[in-house]
Amino acid sequence: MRAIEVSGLTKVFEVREKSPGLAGSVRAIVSPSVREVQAVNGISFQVDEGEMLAFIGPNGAGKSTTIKMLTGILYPTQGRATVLGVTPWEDRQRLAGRIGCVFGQRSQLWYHLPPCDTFELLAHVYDIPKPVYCDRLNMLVDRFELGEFMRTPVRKLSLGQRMRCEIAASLLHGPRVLFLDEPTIGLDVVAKRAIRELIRQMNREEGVTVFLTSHDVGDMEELCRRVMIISHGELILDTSVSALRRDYLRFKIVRVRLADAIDRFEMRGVTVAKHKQTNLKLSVDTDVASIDDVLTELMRHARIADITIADPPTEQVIADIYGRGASEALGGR
Amino acid sequence: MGGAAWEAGFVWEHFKFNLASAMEYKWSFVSQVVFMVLNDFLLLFFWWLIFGKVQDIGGWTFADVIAMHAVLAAAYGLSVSVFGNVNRLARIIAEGQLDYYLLLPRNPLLHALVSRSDISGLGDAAFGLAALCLFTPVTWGRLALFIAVSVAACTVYTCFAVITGSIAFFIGNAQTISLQLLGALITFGGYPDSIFKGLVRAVLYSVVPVGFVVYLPVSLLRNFSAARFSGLLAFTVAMVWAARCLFAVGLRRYESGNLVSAKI
Repeated sequence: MRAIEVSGLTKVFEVREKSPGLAGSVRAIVSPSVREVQAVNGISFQVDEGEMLAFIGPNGAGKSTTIKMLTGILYPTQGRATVLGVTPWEDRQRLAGRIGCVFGQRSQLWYHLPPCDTFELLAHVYDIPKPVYCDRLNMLVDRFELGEFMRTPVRKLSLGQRMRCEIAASLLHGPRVLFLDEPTIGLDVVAKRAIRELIRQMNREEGVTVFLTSHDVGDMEELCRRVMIISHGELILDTSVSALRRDYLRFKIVRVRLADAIDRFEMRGVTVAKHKQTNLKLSVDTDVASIDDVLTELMRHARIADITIADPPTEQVIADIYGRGASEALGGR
Repeated sequence: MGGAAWEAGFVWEHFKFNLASAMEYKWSFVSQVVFMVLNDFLLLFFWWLIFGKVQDIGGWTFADVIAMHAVLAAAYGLSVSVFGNVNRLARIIAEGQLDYYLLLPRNPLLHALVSRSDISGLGDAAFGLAALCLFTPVTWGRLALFIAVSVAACTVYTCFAVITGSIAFFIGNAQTISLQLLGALITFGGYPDSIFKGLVRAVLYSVVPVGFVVYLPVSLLRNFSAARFSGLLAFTVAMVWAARCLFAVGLRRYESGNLVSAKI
């Protein structure tokens, strides 16, 4: 069963442009210049129920615009989409009762009131019957460990506590799909780990479909098995997180300790990142030089005492994919 | 009617919630309400000085002017205390802050309006009721009529604010033009309609509907007529329809935004 189906979804914005300064402002009034910006360009994909999917891309790639169309905030210029069988922009209110949204940079909690008051209000907004609300709230308070600050005004909570409340608030009505836009932004390592564990738990126990956007690769690696990368409004990659690391890894990091010191090491496709007597850290472009060739070349210079070969951080992999652009990376799945 | 009761309950819950939020700072809450009442009564003092020199202004007596200010204050006070975002709608639209309301299973226009409360409006509403009771002859019937016309006037004001705010969907930043039109309504609503003639009077019963927020309600308090009361109700319904339609059409052009925000 599909939770989300998208076909040829496109959004074009009209952007007014003006030259700098007062003269530019006057000219813009007399003869306005309007440019069309293709924020999302004919993307198509499906998400199964219960799936946890990372939807990533650089700033301005079209991630938030896509989420806003899937939640009914924006009308698309072209294309079709259904979320839980509902076209979001045509039946937004009905869909809103079945999805939950967390925007890391926009709070739905009332700043001067404690979280328990916001939860109470949301129960009215979602029209949740009192006994159902009480059961659900108790479960969320217990699971998210909100008890100790449920009666503390939101303005006095830490960012991590606030984000736990935000996610609990978005789950109050038992949504089937959860849209998370930068849920761990600004959090420390411990808080991030806690939030990720809670999301994983809700997915496992309630089968909630999770559609996640984040600039934190850790969110993607720890939560999702599938990743979609969007760049310049186009879907450039749709693959599993493990395949992303395997197939799109171009560089390997080789750390080697030699038995004898060497003066220098040079080879095409190899960059020496660090060289201190017998210790070398090499970045190998495997498109140019194989690991075999590098080791053979090293052993021509000196005996190898120790060696480790590692993948570069996923951030680097993703940056590499952004850099390669749409044409090269298409057809990944 | 079930739908209307459901929406009324929703509005009431938000009003209680906003009140609780404002009471977090109790001295700020009390001072806002008390000083607004004092401010409004000070305005009456100036009219009292004027009516010390003249008997009436274009047929309006001091009691009529008090009724005028009572209706205007009650209508405005009810509007901004219950629909607290009413004067900020253009900014909310232009800055993309409607997102939050569009993500919830409620009417986004109503939700956006009620999710904030201007507490000083309670002072205006209290002044309106107190001024009418203290300075004009009061009967239960007249009190009921005052409440009825004030609610209608509040609805017309709120809808006019929604219409002017919805201009933001079409031209972007419309906060200034919206506030200017609302300011014009309040300003003209502070003077008897008998001093306005011809085209100005026509404008005050159409483009800037002061006539239906203040003059017609006051005329009903001066001399009740079922026909004019029906006219007020019909205009109120038409304004509700127009405001909802314009907002719905504008929503298709909504462009969202990425402003970092919190619910305060």
